[in-house]
Amino acid sequence: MSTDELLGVVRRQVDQTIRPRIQAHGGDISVDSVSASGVVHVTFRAACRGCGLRSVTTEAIRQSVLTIPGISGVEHTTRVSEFARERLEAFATGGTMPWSPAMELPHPTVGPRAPVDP
Amino acid sequence: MHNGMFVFDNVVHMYDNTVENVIDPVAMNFQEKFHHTYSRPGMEAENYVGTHTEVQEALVYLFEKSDTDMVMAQTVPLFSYWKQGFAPAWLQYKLKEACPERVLFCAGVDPLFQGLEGCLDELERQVVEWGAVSAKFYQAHARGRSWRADDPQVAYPIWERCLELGIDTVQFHKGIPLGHEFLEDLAPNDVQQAAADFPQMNFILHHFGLPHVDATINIAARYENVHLSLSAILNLWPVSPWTVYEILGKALLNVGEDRILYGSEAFAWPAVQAYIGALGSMQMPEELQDRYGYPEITETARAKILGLNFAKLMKVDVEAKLRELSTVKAGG
Repeated sequence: MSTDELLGVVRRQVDQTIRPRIQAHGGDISVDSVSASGVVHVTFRAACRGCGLRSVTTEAIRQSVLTIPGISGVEHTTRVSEFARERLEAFATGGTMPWSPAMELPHPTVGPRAPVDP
Repeated sequence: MHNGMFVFDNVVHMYDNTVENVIDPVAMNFQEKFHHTYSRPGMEAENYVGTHTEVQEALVYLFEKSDTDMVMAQTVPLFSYWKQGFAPAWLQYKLKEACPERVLFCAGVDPLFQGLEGCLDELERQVVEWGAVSAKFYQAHARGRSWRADDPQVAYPIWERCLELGIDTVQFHKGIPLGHEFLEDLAPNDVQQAAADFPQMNFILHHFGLPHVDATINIAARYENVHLSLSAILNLWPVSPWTVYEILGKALLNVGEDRILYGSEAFAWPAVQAYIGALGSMQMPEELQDRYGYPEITETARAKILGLNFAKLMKVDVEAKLRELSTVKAGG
């Protein structure tokens, strides 16, 4: 399959799975290209521009399009660290989120409730 | 070239702090204190009270003692503290004339001090006679005098004239008050509507609006014609490296590596090579990658920030420029 044909397949999949969910809250994305090595490049548009949850959305796109034979990854103009990507991947696939010292809360804000005096 | 990367410095200032030019020394004195606060051996700030930058000295700093390939000499049209501004247009033009193959000239005008018509006329003169390819604006002045980039009466005629003159990149000093300007007048918020109304114009915000850093990054993340210059931010590195990592990391995460520019802020900090070296080898600490998800600084990102992004904005063909420079000695 040529990269142009692959681009069409990716766009159809994104249009059917991801875009309606994004557009429901005013966001949007465009699938710009697919490289020869199968990397999809997307651009965030509308309310997605500058949204702090773009990395989560990117992971959702990644999980969706990686099911297409020939697709190896997803890129957009911003990146997250590998630490964050591993956590997002685990989150998106329902797996166990890798623990990191950075995730440890500095104070025990969550714990057993104090017994209520009847 | 630095380790194979094209180095295009977004901002140097040929300053003039001579007694003939200084009206009110408060800004000059504050700036000198700020510059010296963020200095250390090898990255010293210049003792520049009462002096001005010499063209030959500037050429040596840039093209003999550093890996810089090209620079933009930016006018500082701040007329409430200096008669001709901290960095007068004519002095920036002199640097460009001394080395036109490596130096681009950035105009500087102000509608408050020159009046709108005077500002437009002078802008046109600096473009037509002196070959300006961009323009720099300082919107906040002493005693609360200021103007906004989204003012249809004051600012939009300037952006329209810029486009007519072929200038599609304008630049703004944001944050970092030099003297008694009001901090709120240095916030980046006014660029939002201007960026929306002039999508064909590129807006470069300097200093990440310090201390309005989060707002500046947020605006750049949402407007694709807004770009961020590391000017003055990179210069914090010798004293506060983690401040730089945090700001750069946040920008890489939210804006991306395509709209971040290297700016040395020479010649207040003249040791240009030290800053190129710092950016050229800077790594995002793993702790910040883990805690905040800030991406690592890849070689691709580094090359874009050090020069390719600004070259794209200035429509400089890097390969052709490198061929040209290989046959020309800096400064004639």
